[in-house]
Amino acid sequence: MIGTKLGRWHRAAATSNIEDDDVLGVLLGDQGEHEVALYKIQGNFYATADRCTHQTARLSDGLVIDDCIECPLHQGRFHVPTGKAKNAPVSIDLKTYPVKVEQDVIYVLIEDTQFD
Amino acid sequence: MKELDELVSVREQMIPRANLKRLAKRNNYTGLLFLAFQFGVIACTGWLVYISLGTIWIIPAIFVHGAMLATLFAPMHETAHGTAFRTLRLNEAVLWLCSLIYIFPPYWFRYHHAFHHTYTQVRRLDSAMVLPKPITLKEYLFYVSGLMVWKRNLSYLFGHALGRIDPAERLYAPEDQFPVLIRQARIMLLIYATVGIVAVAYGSWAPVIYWLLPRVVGESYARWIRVAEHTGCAEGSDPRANTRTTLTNSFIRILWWNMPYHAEHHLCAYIPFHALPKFHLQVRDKVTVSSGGYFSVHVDLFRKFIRLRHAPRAQ
Repeated sequence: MIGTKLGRWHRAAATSNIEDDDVLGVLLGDQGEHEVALYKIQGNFYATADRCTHQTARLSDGLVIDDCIECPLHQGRFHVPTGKAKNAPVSIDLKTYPVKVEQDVIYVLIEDTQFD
Repeated sequence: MKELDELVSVREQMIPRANLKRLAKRNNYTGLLFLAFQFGVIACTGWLVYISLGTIWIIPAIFVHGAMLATLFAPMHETAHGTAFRTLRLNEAVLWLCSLIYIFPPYWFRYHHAFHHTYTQVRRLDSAMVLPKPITLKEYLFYVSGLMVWKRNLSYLFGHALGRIDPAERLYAPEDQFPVLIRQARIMLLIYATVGIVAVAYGSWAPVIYWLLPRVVGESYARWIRVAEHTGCAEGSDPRANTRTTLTNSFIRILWWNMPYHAEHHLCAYIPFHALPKFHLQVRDKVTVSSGGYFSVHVDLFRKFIRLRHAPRAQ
């Protein structure tokens, strides 16, 4: 993990762990307290919270359609790059995390106020 | 959420995610083909009504036309899930069209139905629990008549238009969406009022003859199909036991957008209707299947009513 003023970069997965237009669920943080969904969409990597804002289903069990993730339970869609809720039953946006790739490893920046 | 975790865990044990992903692929053309076929059938039954006007045949013609209008529940259901089409806007447009004809507020149905999927057959939580056990013949007949559905839906439609949200709805609709429910009900009533005014202005009974009357009497067909989905199945959140697939002929399957594969649909609601027959082949030994068709399911239910009636005397 690498610290910044914004939080900590967490080593999340190897780039080879995610197929194109797919999603992978990972647990980050010292206790695995951050449930994060990693995406590879048209060659770009993204990260969002892994729990749907509607009824907490795991989005990493869902389906990537174009640049959206569809919840596996009620099929609400979120725009992955922005986290925006696209259609009912989801109405609350999804948290997104900054992502960087270094030496084929995906890092996710998670805010950590205690780290400031 | 216990019910949700159980559903996911059962699904993961039954079928690898890679298979599900393959089955879950969406497209636009299959839904459009199904929709074109369905509206073609509805146009034919509407024509039957037209040529029966002024004869005794108008009665069966209106029932048949109403039954076909009732099958619009299927695309409404599939679009409420968002799985009918790959393109979201097309999906929403068809949801609106079907909801208007079917007289079901679209987002109300979507939220109500989503909750049903979370709490399928969980008593006091399942928003669409058709007939909890024990069922009686009287309850069954009342449900199949469709009267309960009209009472409920019209009360929500007019209630929402007046800005009222029923306390029961707070269970399944998020509060930030109440304005959307209210706006949709008002738009629907405005469209219906416009149709009514135009019909009166032209002295036409067409909306009543080709839509309202058949729609009211045809609802019982939709209920008759829907009773088979869960009634008599186990209560609780196990999708292998709480939902029934009813094997039937391909005409019914197409009209109902493969909804007869209902256990598969509940097992994995993100698999679109056109992939359900393939999914059925992969899981048919693990879910509840009635192979005798809808009549057989209803005959079994009648047997249960009879047993229920005799049960107290046997004690």
